[in-house]
Amino acid sequence: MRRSLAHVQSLATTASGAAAARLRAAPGAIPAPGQISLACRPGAEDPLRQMLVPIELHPDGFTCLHPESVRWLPGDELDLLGPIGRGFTPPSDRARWLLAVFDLPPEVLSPLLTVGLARRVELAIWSERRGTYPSQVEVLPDLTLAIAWANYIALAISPSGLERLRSNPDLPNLRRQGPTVEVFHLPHMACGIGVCGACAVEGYPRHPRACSDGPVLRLEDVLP
Amino acid sequence: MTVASGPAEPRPPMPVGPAEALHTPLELSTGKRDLVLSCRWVNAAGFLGLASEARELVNLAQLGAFITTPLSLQPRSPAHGPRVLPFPGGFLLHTGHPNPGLRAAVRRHGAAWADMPIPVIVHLLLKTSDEAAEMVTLLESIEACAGLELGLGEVDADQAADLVAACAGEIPVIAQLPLGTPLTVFAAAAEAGAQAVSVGAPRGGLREPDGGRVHGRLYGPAVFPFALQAVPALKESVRVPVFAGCGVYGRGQALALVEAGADGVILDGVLWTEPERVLQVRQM
Repeated sequence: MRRSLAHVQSLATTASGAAAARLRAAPGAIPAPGQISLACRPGAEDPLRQMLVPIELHPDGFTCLHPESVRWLPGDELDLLGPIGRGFTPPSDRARWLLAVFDLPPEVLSPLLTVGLARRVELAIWSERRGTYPSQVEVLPDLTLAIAWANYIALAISPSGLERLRSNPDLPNLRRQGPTVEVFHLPHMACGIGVCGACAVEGYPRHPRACSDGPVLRLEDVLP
Repeated sequence: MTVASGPAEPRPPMPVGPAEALHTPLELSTGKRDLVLSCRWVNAAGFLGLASEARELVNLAQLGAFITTPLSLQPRSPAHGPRVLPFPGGFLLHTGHPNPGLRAAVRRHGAAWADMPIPVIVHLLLKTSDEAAEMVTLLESIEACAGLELGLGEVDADQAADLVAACAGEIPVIAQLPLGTPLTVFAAAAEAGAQAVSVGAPRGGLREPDGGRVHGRLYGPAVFPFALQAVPALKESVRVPVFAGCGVYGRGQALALVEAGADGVILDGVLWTEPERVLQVRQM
């Protein structure tokens, strides 16, 4: 993790209707799938850095969801902190991947989807929101069946999504022996270095921080 | 400069300008242990972690002392619900101060504290004077603990005095109270034996998107004018050094605090964004 300068190249809207920003960044500042970055505008006295969730990785930067509480414009300079945290580590022997998204734009798992396409695994997606996917990706409307089919599951969840997942009837199926499950947990982050506790997962003795222990956590870190 | 506990004569004004004053050493002493800050910058508790977590953001050698994340006697869990809420010009933090408890923190980080390039001040979250005394007894056995900052929270003058008195011993004590606390409470803490006082983040509330309310500590540039307004009166009310901060995001604000009477400047949110705006050495 390091600080570097980036620039806003363009703004866009994703297939699911979310605002996005394409950034030009140094190669070492480009997150891996499942990692995030934080950014502020140099000299602007921004009270906090904004969390940047990548939705597409490029050789010269990345496209991220545009933070809701700021309005960046093309040409704006950003002070990036990142890449932050632990990303996805799908096992090489798993060939049936399910990407499931709770309460977030489905594009947050697009960088991992790209990895799956490169590995030529079977890919399925379950999302509460509509998205646009490559033809190799099957959209599964039934989460129970999707979980039963997969041997690698990547869940992307917001804090409210985590609350709902904890009471979801499919939770026991996630915990059964067999599929490897990784959870991309995206609460608001403040410091990005694991010191403030704003992104700590409550309810467990270790209280893993999404920014320093995650954002990709083990299932047992977030669910009882 | 040595400041002993108990009443003292008012000190003469600093003989140097505010910029030079920030690089003047400050010594707080109980007569048994000394806390010597080589310069007047310190971090707010909770902004740099328990040891070296922030080493890639901040060169600790640029600070006069390192203040740990707030520590309670028993482990604490994170707060439920939203914990960071932005508002124009600032943000509210309601984290619940999750921490592993004092004993676990000492076990895990005591060796790192001894290796720090600057003195370590352990910030304590206090509930009762008995608990406070137990925590101080443990810390007095640790040489690397050069100072204590007592997070007194929202207390009255009697409660502040009791908690400070319970902690007054070998290690120099800084009594921290939120911005907006009555001056009589700061004075009571100083008279009870604190070697210095510090102004912590003010409390406030925000409305959540779902209609609920969240209360917590307020940070950001929007808070700074309130801190600057508070310092001269606080300086008049206590005879010990005053550490002040709350929303310092530029060197000019730090100098203004010193001109207003602050003896040390506390840095908070700027440490997570652009610390070089005050410390003037970019870590990029």
